[in-house]
Amino acid sequence: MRPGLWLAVGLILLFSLFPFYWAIVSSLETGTALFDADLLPSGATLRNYGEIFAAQPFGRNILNSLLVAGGTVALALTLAVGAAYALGRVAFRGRGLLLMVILAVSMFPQVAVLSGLFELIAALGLYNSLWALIFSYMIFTLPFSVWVLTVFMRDLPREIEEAAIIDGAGSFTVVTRIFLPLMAPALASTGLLAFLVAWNEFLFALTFTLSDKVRTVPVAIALISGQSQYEIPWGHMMAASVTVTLPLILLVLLFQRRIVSGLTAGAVKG
Amino acid sequence: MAQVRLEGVAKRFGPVSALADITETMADGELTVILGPSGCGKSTLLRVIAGLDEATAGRIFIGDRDVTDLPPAKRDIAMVFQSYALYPHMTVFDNMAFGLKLAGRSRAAVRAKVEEAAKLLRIDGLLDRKPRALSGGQRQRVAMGRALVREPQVFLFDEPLSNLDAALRVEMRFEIAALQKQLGATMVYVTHDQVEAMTLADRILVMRDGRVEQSGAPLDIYRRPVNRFVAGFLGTPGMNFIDGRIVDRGENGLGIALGDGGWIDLPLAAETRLAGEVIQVGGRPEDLMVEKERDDGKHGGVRLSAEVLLVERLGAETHLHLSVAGGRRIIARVGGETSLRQGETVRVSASVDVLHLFDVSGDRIAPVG
Amino acid sequence: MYLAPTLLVLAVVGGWPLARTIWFSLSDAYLGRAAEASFIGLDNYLLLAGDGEWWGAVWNTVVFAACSVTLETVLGIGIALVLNARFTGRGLVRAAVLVPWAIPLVVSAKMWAWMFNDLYGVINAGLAGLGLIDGPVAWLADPDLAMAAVVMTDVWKTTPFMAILVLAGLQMIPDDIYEAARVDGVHPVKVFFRITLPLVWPVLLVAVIFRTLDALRVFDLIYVMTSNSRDTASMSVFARQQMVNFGDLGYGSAASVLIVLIVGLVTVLWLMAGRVRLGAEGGR
Repeated sequence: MRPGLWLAVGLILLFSLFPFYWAIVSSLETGTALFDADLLPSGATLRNYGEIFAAQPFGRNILNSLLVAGGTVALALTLAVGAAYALGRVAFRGRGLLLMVILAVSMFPQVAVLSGLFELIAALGLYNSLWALIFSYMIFTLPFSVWVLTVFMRDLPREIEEAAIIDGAGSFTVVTRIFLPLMAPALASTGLLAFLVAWNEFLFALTFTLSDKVRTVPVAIALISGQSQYEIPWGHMMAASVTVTLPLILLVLLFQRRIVSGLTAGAVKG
Repeated sequence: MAQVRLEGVAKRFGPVSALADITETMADGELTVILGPSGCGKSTLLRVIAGLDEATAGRIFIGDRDVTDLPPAKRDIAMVFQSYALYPHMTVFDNMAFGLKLAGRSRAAVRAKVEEAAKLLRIDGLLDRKPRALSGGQRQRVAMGRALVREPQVFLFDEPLSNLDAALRVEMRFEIAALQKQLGATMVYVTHDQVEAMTLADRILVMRDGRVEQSGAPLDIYRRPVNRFVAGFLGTPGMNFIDGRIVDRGENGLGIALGDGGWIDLPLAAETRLAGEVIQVGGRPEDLMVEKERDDGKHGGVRLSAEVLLVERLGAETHLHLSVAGGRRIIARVGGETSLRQGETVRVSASVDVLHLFDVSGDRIAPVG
Repeated sequence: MYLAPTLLVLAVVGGWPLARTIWFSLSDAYLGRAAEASFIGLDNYLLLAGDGEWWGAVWNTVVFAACSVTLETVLGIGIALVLNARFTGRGLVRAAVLVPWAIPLVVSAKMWAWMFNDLYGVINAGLAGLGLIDGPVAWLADPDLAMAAVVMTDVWKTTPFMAILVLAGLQMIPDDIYEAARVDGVHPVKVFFRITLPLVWPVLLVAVIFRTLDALRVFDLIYVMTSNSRDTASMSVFARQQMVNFGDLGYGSAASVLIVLIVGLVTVLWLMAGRVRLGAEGGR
């Protein structure tokens, strides 16, 4: 049994990690070295990394992505905490239906709202701005956050809330002083997932932004091009990929438990 | 401190009636226990007094104030929950101080109050701990401390000891009683545990199906239950019931024919209009006397033979499980040193004045005078 | 009310645009002059029904979704079973499994496109090294292989999600059930099919539904790896191309509405299948 297990573990690791490893190897190579399929980088150099920041506004793209993802998380969580309180703690007619509707929104195919959203964003004068992205990302981050936080909120003991009410706390105090601290783990999970989703989003970012200055990282990487159509700068592309992925991987490694609990909260309990 | 007065309080959850027309007074400085099986509405009654649930009808007074429409925080009450409901992210100090801080008391006043209460409850060494670092008994004390610092008119307890193990429960029961005497506080205490009710209460309300079945001093209720339900609910092992019918024997007076050949003489003064009525006779296990069967014709007022099914020796006392003729099982509680054995045929007797008679609808009937 | 802001935002970013899309789909709207659009009934849909390219996109999407979800499910269960075993370093392996999931889709697409590169890609080099192929294989240019490459990339990227959910399901199964089965001498394979699978079924169903819906909406991956190529274009790629590249808002919107309907239909089918299956389990 044991050797079989280790073989399986080895295969899983190879499957999961090799592509990223290969990206790192490629990102360290330039010129013809890039085109050898050697497993170790030959003539490793950081030149690709330097070039993507110099030749392209890649630093700016990263900043954009950070702003968009951060803004999305802040906005989604703020709204979701309130909604989750109402959905998780206050009994009212049609609550279950409302939850289903909210969840259904996150199942919308993005293209289905693309044109309407485009029109709306243009009308609000948000086209080609980061706000357009933060705003449009609500469509998938908000339902998801509401869902996870509601599930979590529902599991908080009712008596704690009642104790606070007897202590003289109004509903706002209950949410901010009692529930928020108790929900810190759930908020962290949800926030991380929302951050990843916003950081990775492509379709809206591609459609609602135009200029390099407001592009986010995924769009920038997708649009990296070389001198001619036939000369794709793979080295640059891999360097950019590694640059934006490393922080995410660190995030995942550090917060593995939180992410897993966030991912499973909706599915397993809901 | 103040009394709690309920006038025609009712509570419905949709079509379900949880409380029906309750009018009761919980006296100032007394500990009133609301006792009943789960689902009887006792917790709902407490929550209505606290303001956590709204009464559908009726008025609630605390002292002279009508608090029916006031939110919980304005009713001048404090509540101790079954799960303690401590704020997990706050220290013991902050747990106790939270209400005072919200009420806008000065830092110094809050500190003084919390420390005083902590000392009283002997948790003054734990003020910096978080609830998860406390034992069950300590959490219980913190929950009480949180109630104490508010200096409320009325303390409300919702099954506060049910999460503790047996030994701790006895200890905390003692402390609550002591605290109540020391503070002279008005307390309303909900429990399904009749031992807690008997030991703690100045007055007990026995509830069933949203109604108060009987209220009064613990021993009064124990001795003179108004109906079969109350009679059966108080006491362990519970009261024994045997079916019977009242028979008129002319000048020999009334008697009760037990369904299975047994007989009970009733005093001559018993009302003859009861003759013919089908009843149930109740006897508490400790009121039954059990002897070896002797055919000497002497049997007092009660004549009932039974077979010993099981002898449970508890040391200080013995529980005899008996099968009376007809197969009905009863329990008698006798001394620790009994010579009776399983399988023996015995005679069960009792003094007539400690037996309880209930009519077909379960209400107590007083055949005498 | 605490709900109001959320509902408002969702209505604005979800409800309103969807309503607009439905309106556009019934009109002859063009990008840039949507205001002048006039109602043309179901013409767009009728046109779509006869459009081979659209049906091609539908077919591509279905093939993509079916292949990738099936592979992910099988691999995900496998990985979850391995991770559910106790061994040293399990936490690290679990974290490693999450890595593909955390990598942005666009980045994954680019990474795999590079690995699939016909001349310099590591996959061709590896296969050649093993003697499995003679010359370079044009993975992304050949229609069939391109789909395989896209599926492969999607499987790599999303298997972790499946594995993590199934693992969570597995960990909810109490150990004593397995111990009881061992005491009863049930064969491990039988244990898997008769005990493990029925017990993780609800979780698995949720994961599969999530993934199916996601796969049916696929856009980024296909757009980045094979651009607007007809051979692999998904329904979403088709719809966006009509709307943005060709400016035919009405036509593209009609396609979008159909995607919504298809996704909804598939969800309902899955839920019903799940219910029926669960009912059967209960009956036994």
